[in-house]
Amino acid sequence: VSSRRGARRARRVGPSGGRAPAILLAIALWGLGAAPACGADPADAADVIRKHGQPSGIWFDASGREVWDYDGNPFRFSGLRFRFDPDGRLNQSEETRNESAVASVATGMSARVVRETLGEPPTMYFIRDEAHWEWRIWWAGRAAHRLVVQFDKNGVVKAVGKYRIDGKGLGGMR
Amino acid sequence: VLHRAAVLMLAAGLTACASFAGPSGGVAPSGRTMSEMRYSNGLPDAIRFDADGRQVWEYTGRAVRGGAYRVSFDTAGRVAEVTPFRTPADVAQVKAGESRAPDVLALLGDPERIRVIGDGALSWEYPLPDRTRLVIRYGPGRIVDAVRIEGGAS
Repeated sequence: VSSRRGARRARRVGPSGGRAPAILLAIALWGLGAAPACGADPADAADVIRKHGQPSGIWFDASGREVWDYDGNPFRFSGLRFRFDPDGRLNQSEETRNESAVASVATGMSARVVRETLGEPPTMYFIRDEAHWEWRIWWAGRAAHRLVVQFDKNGVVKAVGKYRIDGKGLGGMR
Repeated sequence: VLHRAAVLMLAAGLTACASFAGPSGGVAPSGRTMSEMRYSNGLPDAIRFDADGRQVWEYTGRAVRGGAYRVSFDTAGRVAEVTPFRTPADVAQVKAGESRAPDVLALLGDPERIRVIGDGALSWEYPLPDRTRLVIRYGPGRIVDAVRIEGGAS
């Protein structure tokens, strides 16, 4: 008798005991899917605004995609870039000023390509009428550097320099 | 002699100040170098490029009083043209149901603020000289859904 009771209890407990984890799992999965702005990658332009705030620049690339740049902070060592499809869905997100992007900047390149590769420079100055655009970057194993791109008078890259920022913080800018 | 030199230097300085002003200053700075624009008017708010790859700098009112204007440079890096934008005529060209985001950007430049409306749609907002705000709401396909002026002097 007791074994029959045990079996009956097991049948009763079995289904309800298995339901609780399933419900918890369902809630967890719903939570992950329903809260894109709370940690998961953004899915569209509205998510990007909620998560990252106002872009520092907007432009349209050669294929007509809307591009938002986040590189307005001159003290940051990298920037963010989001590309959107015409319907506002996020097509691509990337970190700008990463090592491969920085390495691709070379003499002979146009200012437009530099702008599209690295984003807008937070610092611009002129020496003998030649423009110098400057960013802060991570370079050579995430060491803080200044990246200086020098243009000739026709707006073509003439020289690219990377200068390590020393422990005192300003990298020769004092 | 010193007095005369000082007067000449002052006159030269005043001329330089006047010619570095934006369009509102009444003196078009055509022929000035990029460097002169940079140091007289500050960093541009946006650097763009025209179809021929020439630089176009946008100033949207923070650096220079008198509204937004674009400075186009020639291939030698000298100012070729200064064009006011975000004018009433530009605003009038933004049409609900017709204009797209690239059209708005070409006419008005970067918005000062992008706002997410309740249903996930976006609006671009621009300050106007009379302290009102131009609000451009987008619908599906990034086509302008509505254009309106909001607010006023408080």
